[in-house]
Amino acid sequence: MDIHKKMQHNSISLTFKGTLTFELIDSIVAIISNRLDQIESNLVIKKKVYGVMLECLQNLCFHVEKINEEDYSPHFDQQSTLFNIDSDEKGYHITTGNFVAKEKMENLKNWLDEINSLSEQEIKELYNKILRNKNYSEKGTGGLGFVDMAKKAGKLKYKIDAIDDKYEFFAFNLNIPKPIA
Amino acid sequence: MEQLLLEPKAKTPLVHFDNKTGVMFLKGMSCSENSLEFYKPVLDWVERYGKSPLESTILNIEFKYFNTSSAKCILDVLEKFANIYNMGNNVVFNWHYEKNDEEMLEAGENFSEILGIPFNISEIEAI
Repeated sequence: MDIHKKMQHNSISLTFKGTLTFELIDSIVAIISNRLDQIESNLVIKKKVYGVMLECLQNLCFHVEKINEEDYSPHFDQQSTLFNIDSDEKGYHITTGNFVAKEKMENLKNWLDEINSLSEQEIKELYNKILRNKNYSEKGTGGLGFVDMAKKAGKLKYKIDAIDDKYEFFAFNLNIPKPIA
Repeated sequence: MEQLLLEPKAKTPLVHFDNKTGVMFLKGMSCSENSLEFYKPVLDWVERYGKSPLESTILNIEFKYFNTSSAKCILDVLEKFANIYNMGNNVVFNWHYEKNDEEMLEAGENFSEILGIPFNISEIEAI
């Protein structure tokens, strides 16, 4: 791509790769939030980008694999996560990547496929159903993250890449379109 | 029983629940990764207040944003006030949202529908 396009005065571009902590999320969110205040005048879009970004990052931090030392790959930094946000004339694009244990991937894939098969109205109904149940995970999460992202950004795009016999790589992408001027 | 005052921070809202006047404020951002921990004392306070509430309670809610883990906790807080209302007490639910913030407008309508209690929903200039 033409790198100079990233220098447009009204665009965002930030990539992070490394071990994500909640403190780091605060910094990333603060940077992007300040930038959004500068470049995005549409409050609805601004809040969608903010919300999706925050849910993505908190999700990553909660669910990153804790990998045993003996399973460390010589090729990949499996404790690391990838987060990227950028924008162009079409909208805002958020991409994340992390390693997921194979046995967990099936559940994750089924959950995303289920959400993606629903209409806008059905997504709202699912959101309310989960909102009303009193279940929290051991980590204190409520199971609403992906449903909320789908409410805000539509289809949850993902790609699963084979890595080794224990792990797969989960690449996830969300787009928040700008209104057509 | 004393009033509950939690000052607003970057990721947690102002909570000012006054059991002397019955006027309650929940306002600002709620996006902590640890919402359960933040809302636990809030829920405990409303539970205690509900045992001998004032004749009239006014709950003013103004969220700029809340994350998904806060959403469940906020519903829990609202349910505690709804219980007070359903016991025949006068509880007014005022839900304010920032101008043009469709998502927060919808959130207010949604909470009202879930609880089966009318909210006064109104737009304000900024939160």
